Amino acid sequence: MPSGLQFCFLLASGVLAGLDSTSLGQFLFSRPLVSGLLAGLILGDPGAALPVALVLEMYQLSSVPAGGTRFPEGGLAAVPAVTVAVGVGGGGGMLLGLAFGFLWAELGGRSIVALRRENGRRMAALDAPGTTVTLVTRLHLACLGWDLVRSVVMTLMGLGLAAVMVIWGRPGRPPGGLEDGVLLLLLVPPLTVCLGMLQPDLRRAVFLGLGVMAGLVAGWVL
Amino acid sequence: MGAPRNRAFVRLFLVQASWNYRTMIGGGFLFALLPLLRGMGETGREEGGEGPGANPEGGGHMEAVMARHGGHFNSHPFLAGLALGAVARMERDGAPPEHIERFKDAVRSPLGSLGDALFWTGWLPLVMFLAAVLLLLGFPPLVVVMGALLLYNIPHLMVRRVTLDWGLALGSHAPARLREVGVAHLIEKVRDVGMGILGLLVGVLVSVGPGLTVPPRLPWLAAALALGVVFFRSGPAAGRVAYRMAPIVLILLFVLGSRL
Repeated sequence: MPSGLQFCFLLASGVLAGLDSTSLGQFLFSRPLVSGLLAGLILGDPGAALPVALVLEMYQLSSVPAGGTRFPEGGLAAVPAVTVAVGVGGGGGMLLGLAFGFLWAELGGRSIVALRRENGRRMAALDAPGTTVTLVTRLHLACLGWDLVRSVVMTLMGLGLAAVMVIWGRPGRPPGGLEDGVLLLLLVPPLTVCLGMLQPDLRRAVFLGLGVMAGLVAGWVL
Repeated sequence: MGAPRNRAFVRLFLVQASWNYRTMIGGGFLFALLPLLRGMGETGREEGGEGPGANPEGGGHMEAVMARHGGHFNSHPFLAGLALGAVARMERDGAPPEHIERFKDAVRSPLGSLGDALFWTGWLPLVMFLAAVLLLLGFPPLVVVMGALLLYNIPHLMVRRVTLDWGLALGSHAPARLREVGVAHLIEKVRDVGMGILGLLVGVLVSVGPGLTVPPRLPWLAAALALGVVFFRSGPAAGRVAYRMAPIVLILLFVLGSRL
């Protein structure tokens, strides 16, 4: 489990990733490879962070944040995902962290959509006559402030759930820990569902999910 | 215009903060434009007493200008400075409002698609693939992260600054400057190199991936590089397939690797 200081750094890293994805600069801090490795360095195990950060980065690269597209928020999600991977350890930890990262990235993407809808309502105040410099500045910075709140909440919730998963998933801990193989089978459905979300066509998403499941099971059995 | 220009440049980093489905970056565009409008109150048209920045708290001409620029606008965030500078220049030169509106309509899509192609599907994947290759080859994570941040952000910051300056200097002629410097050609080159590095990444994963040792390594690496060349030669459709397949291939490799 991370110490208090490590938790503060993880929180800062997640919030920075959340803000950087849209509101603040896009300086690369919102990329899973960067935020995930930073989380690994904070937790003292960049080796365990690497596979999770790398796979989440590849997942993130397949979507482009152009126009009004909904994209997964992999940068913020990589922070709790790496926390799970490092905390649980081994192949099971990596898989558990990855599956959690995929799910959290999708939820993060949805939280951005909700924020953008709310931004639309807030910025509608500019349509009324009598717009002033103060009003423009206040409204714009309020939107930034709400993105900050969103990033803090998503990171805190993610780290909280990560702590639960570390306790649940660590071998030898109550309620008994889980073998890697069982974990793999348990985590295949959410992982494939999240991968399928990348495909706008639901029919193809099913095929994609079936293919990945078949590939993973084949790799496990053979 | 030095100080207002610097303030506008800093505000451009927040241009997407109020992004929404109705006006997109329109609110952020106006937020970044404000220092330039107010700066004009101290120079240029202020000599005639009619500058857009004559009243920084709104009212009269300033209110009309703000009403015009708070509506819908979109662009790639890194290239938004070009439109911002050009609009500020046109306002300063007293261009008719309908002319400025037509200019904004005309540059919206090109600035979006050029920026997406150059950064989101060009420079960004290239830097990320290169960072992944270096990490898998055993370079220290902190060094790779710092290197990636530098490699990505130096051109990023330069593009933001230079395009803002072009807009301010050239006004409505600024977009032509993008053609002159050959941005379209640059995009192709960046994507070519990116695809080669993707092939390199696949090869490195196959040959030295965590827990995965498939002898002999050299033929696998050669095959992966050949695959990269095929993608490079067959055009963007194959590139898209490669990008889509990359996460699945990686997951399979890691899962298999963790079991071997």
